[in-house]
Amino acid sequence: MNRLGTKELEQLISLYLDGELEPDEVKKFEEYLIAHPSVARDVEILKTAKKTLHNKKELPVDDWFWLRLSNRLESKTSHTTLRQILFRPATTLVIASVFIVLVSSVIYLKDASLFQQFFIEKKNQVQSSLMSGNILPLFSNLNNDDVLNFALFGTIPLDSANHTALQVKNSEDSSSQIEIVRKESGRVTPTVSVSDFCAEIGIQQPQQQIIDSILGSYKERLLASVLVSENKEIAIHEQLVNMNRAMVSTIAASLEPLQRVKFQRFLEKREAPYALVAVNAPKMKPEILLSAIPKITRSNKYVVISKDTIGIAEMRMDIDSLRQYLHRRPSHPHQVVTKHMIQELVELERQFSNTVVVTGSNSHRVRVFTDNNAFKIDLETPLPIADEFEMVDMVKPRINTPTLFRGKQHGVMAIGDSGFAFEFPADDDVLRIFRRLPQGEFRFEIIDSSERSPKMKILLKSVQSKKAFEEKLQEMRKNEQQLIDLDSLLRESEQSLNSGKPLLKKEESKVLDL
Amino acid sequence: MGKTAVINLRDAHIPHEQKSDDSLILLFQSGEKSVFRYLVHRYQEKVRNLIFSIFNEADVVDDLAQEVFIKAYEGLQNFRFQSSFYTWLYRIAVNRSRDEMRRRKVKKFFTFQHVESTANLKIENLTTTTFDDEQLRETIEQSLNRLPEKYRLPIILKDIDGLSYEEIAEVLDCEIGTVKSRLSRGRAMLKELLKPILA
Repeated sequence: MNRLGTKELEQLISLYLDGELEPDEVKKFEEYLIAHPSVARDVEILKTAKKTLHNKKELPVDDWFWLRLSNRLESKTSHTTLRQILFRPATTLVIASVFIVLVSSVIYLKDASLFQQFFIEKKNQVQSSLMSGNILPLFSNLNNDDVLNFALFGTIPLDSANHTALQVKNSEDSSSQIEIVRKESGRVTPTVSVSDFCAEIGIQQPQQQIIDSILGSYKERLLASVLVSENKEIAIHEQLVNMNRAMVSTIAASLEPLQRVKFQRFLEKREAPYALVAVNAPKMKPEILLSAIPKITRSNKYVVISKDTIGIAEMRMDIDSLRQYLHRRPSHPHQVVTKHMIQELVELERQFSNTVVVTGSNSHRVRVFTDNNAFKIDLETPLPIADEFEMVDMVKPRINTPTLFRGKQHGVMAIGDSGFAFEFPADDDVLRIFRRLPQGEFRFEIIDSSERSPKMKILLKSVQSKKAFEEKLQEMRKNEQQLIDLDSLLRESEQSLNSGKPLLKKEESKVLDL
Repeated sequence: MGKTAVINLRDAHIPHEQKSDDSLILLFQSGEKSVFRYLVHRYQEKVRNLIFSIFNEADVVDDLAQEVFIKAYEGLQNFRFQSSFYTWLYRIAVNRSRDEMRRRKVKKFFTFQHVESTANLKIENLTTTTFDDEQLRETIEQSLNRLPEKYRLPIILKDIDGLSYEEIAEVLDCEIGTVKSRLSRGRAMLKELLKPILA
């Protein structure tokens, strides 16, 4: 091989490394390398580089890529569809014709628009925040005994020692609750095994197989019911509060009338939260029962708790991805996650007083209670049992199960269809500020504090936005040199504290316009 | 270039996971949009790793990779089988990465002369260093990242992703001759960066 120019040599080296030279060219080039050791050293360097790059470390597999992508695609598709509709010629004409009317209306609806915008932003924040990290199902290691205990008592242990448990409760009259409770010693919940249950009710094979199938089907529902994300958000399926009732109903429907009588006694003896109401109803065929157990749907509503937001957000659940994930990591650190979650919930306590709660379109009212060991979400307006769970309802709430929760209430927030509100601790500064606010700009209501705290809480109604409120508050804090007479509000508060009675009952609460 | 979709009639009876890319795309184009997930599952890790190779930052990977697939979803209806799906997808990924680089106005590369002079300064310290595999990998990847984008991308596609010259030309939308010359020039620059360290 003759003497080569720099560019020609570079090209030959590159082709040689890629195996693109013909055999005779390879032979000639290798002879050239023997004659030119410095070039041979260059080739070795590049061979090392090529080999190293070829073995470059890959990123860990992202099991949730499709779930996040499908959410983004869905959101994008709906926007595109809307855009397509809006830009059709006929639509444009219609839009143009109502435009003038809208312009004038917008002036009056400015506050409402701000509210809507705020609401949408918050809702999106919940959704994107939750979807931005890997999501871990909290209940991936349940066995049929755990599922049965959830059905009977509404509790699922969160650790092997049963010191911590998730508990759901609903009563016919008022509300549903999801609680995470912890005990320093002893078991949080009673436990019953499937075999003990079957023996006591008099269930024989193959009837026990049907019970096992029922529990197995609900086990999958529970899998997708409580999710914890790497970004420290927690999502609880809003129908979790109705699921155990549906499970008890399904189990009851599979029993003979005589077995139901025993089942009724069984529930009473253990102070289970439900009582059977249709003991004499005919036994349902197992195939009908099993096919009626709802499968996990793609779109689900979750109560989502993140660091700065609580709310109800619609989320898509890809159960296939969930299964794949669990299959790949069958021994995920369940207890570590649980401990981590409890810590996170406790950490959230400090932030709730300034948190806005966003709910979905329904007028759910969400209350949050915390103490050092526990966490409670109170869905004040009872969530309707979804259609899917209405197939058999053979039970009713029997008693109000005594709660282990002894925490205090923080930052109650609510948004319904008609407005939104958030609570604020009524310290001296806040009271001063509210008295100085321009009339009509803000309205506030003094509400009864459930823990009878000397600190009253203030409910703001129809405020433009939380940000506007906070800005105003900050501005007012800067300028608080003038002493403000706290007059009757504080005196009433003190009287209430001394007498041990709540300041005002809810129905007596007064709305003050400043 | 130039390619036609070839569909095996027996394809209809096999699960979507095992169908060819072309079959899935035809199903997509006939309205069965849900099959897109199988294409995503097939290529998501390749796209994520390609973006990771380009930026060497794990943080940007997920957002960009998702945007790549969103773009692919939007364009798949008009896919004409002129190239294979994955080179088309890679082209989207490369173009999106270029946009991102432009947006950030990152000028990671040095001029060749600058590189030489900087490297020379380190010779004394580095010649006595013994590299383990991890250090070697880091050194090579860092050196690659210092190359200008037009030389870096062909090396990534060739040496990391193992694409052929033809495929790289399709992805980068240029002639095969250009690919060859950029590869040879890029490697020469890479060699100059590594020589003081590895020689």
